[in-house]
Amino acid sequence: MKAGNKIPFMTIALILLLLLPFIIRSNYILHLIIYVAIYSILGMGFSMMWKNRLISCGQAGFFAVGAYTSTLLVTRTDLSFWWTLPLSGIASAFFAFIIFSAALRAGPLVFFGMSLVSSFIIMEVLGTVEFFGGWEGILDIPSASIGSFFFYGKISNYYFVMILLILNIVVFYALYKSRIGRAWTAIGSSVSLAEAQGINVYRYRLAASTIACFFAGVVGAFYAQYQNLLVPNSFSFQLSIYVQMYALLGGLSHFIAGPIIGAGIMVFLPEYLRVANEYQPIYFSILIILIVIFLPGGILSIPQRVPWLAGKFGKKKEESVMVNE
Amino acid sequence: MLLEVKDLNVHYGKAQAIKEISIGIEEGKIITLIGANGAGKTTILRTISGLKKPTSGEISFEGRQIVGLSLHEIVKLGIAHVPEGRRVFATMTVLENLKMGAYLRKDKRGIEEDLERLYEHFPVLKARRAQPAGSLSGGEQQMLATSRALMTTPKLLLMDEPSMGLSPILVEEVGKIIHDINRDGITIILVEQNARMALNIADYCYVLEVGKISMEGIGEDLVNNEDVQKAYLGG
Amino acid sequence: MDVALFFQCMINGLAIGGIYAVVASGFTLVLGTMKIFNFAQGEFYMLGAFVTFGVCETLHLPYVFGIIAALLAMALLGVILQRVIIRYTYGGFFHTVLATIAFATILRQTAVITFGKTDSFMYPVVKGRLELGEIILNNDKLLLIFMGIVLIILLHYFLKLKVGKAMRAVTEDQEVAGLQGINSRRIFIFTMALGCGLAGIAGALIVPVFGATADMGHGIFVKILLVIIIGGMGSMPGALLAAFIIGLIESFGYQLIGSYNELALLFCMLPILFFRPGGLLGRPLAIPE
Ligand SMILES: Nc1ncnc2c1ncn2[C@@H]1O[C@H](COP(=O)(O)OP(=O)(O)OP(=O)(O)O)[C@@H](O)[C@H]1O
Ligand SMILES: [Mg+2]
Repeated sequence: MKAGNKIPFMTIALILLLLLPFIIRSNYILHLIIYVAIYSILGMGFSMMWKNRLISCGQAGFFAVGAYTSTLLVTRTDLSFWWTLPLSGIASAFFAFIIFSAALRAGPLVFFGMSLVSSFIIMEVLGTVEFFGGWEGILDIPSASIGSFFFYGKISNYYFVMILLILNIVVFYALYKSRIGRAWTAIGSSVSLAEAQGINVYRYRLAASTIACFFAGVVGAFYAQYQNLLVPNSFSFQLSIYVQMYALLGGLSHFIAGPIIGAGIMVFLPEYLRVANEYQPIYFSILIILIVIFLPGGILSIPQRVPWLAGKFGKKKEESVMVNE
Repeated sequence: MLLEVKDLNVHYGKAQAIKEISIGIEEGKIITLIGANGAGKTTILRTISGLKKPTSGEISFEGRQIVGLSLHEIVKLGIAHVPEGRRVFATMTVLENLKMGAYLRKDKRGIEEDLERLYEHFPVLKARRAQPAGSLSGGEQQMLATSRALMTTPKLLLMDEPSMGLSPILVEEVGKIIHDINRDGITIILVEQNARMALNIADYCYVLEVGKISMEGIGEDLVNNEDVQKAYLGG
Repeated sequence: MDVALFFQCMINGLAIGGIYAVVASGFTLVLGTMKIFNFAQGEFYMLGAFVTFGVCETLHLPYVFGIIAALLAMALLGVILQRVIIRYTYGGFFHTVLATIAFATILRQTAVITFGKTDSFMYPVVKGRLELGEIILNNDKLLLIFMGIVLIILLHYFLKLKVGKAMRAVTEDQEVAGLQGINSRRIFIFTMALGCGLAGIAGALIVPVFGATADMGHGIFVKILLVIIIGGMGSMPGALLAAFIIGLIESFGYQLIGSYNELALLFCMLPILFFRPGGLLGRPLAIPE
């Protein structure tokens, strides 16, 4: 799509988003859409790291840091929610900065491991340490408010999260278009070439992960006041995997649209399939395996290679015999 | 003909690296492929040894089609490949590297004898046999990589730029080694940037230009050819 | 902390460290040789425990059969994972990782559905304890340490055999290993069987001592990650060293600072990573692109 066509398209999309609650009129569907937005933000964070060829297995953990920071500040001090919103992002980013500044020195594989380990440990600590409310979690978290208006229902929270989502998209888009984004792209296509061009790979990767985790923290704060309760188990490793899966399903090379489309599909699909909760992870996993094998480029790659099956089997013969054998 | 390559085409993705190439080598001979960077020399060797699948074309070894065979089958038939950049197993000792070359062999006695012979030829390898191969110098690693290939008891040896990164004295040494190997009855395909050395020892030469053979002939003729002199022998 | 408690912690730490060492060395083999980050390693451990439980408690066969069954079953499952799924993931490292994560999830969730979330305990294989004055050492823990060390020594000698060396060659350079006539497909199958089988054995060893639960696999996997990060990705001696270090830190840490233990562990490893990015005994391993 050319830049010129984008503006009317964007306007229409925006108006639609604005009117959506009045078109849909179902609280339940609005609730699901709010979830899509939350997951999209987490997924875009994952994609930002993936752009640098970093694989994060711990978005749930940084999401949790944000949620708990906001909640603890709101309930234990007199700070207004609106102050805690950026503070949650900063807390999460700070945590990410500390962990990843060490992990990135050891390279992407350790980054990958550390993201998972730290998010697991975050969950354990939230659950076991009394101060954070234990495994039963924290109840009765107040909703955000402006004056006497409370963000309590679905509609107000819908607008709230949409603002966050759009903000996120705008910032990410601007970043990707900037010099920083070009450096990320260079790193993503070849680390050694990027280094040869004088790009400080370590710093750019650290920046990407810190920024991504900032937004995960912010949306964590939103999540806490929306749900009005926090349970450590909702920030499990499974959530991090789902985030990866949304990005993969949408298309890993589409850093903004990919996660949104993936999350949109995967939040709504099970609702219509009516799968028993217990079996859902199994079906999801089977789906992941199928995508990984048959559609590694995600849904957004379909238009580029309609005869993808042919492409797939053609490729198998052509590549060096060493791959995976 | 020991090895015959016919109408070979090789692609990397959509890019064609080798176009309709045919070469042949008789038993006991040395042939050489010379050409600029990216001409496709390495690709030809990789295709012969089975590391790369061709898009089309035939490769017959002792009259038998070998396209599509797996690596170990090709090794068993008697084709050994000393890859570009040597690629010794750096963390394994020199002796372990050599034993890897004998991986498919069952004759313990023969292996010991071959080891002794190689040690005689390359006393350094004997002196360093317990050291990790990564600690060897470039020239020593080349000897090791070549010896490792010889341990597979090949009939045909593919050598990819054995003189790369070596000092002029060592280059001469490499030339001698290749000659010796050949005298023991092993047929050799030699890929070289160092055209002078290659042309001197080869029985027959092919000049490669962007995936095609632009010239061929016996060494002496090519050495005296003006174009070759300009392009590969420095004037 | 008195002497008795000290030794108690020591034994517990070494026992659990031994288990970590066995599971982590299997993981390291697969990671090094095949460049596969096998998320299912923890679940193989969990299933190994249940297989042994089933063989010993349901079929009433001797414990040894339980161990062998766990080894064989997990080796087979590992090979299935490689041949049926991993082999067809062409998208690269991340896609393979996701496939193993998905496989792990299937195994875990199936176990949750079949066995529930409660612990399954089997009869103790060895009873009693060793008393040296104040110091009391449980025999089952001692057996665990012993078995852990025996397995590590066996593995060490195994890697010195011809096939073990071929595995190392494939680890270093798959193409060149192929040029020596090493059939890397066979080596892969073998590595996968061995790596996953080791997890199965570890599960078989742990079940008489701590029982089996459906979610034990995820817990140990995180510890294995810690082990290989601290030890150095792909480094076998590093993994073994780190396994025992982490086992000990855990057992003493739990005694000393209780639930902050895990957080302390996390912050312990940051300086290690910072000053020794490759881990204690490893070189940084690159993600294959
Ligand atoms: N793995 C690969 N993927 C994509 N293209 C490749 C690959 N290997 C080689 N090529 C391309 O194929 C062509 C031939 O390469 P090849 O390595 O065979 O050349 P060469 O003659 O050996 O060069 P050199 O003298 O530098 O070793 C080049 O254009 C190169 O860019
Ligand atoms: Mg070359």
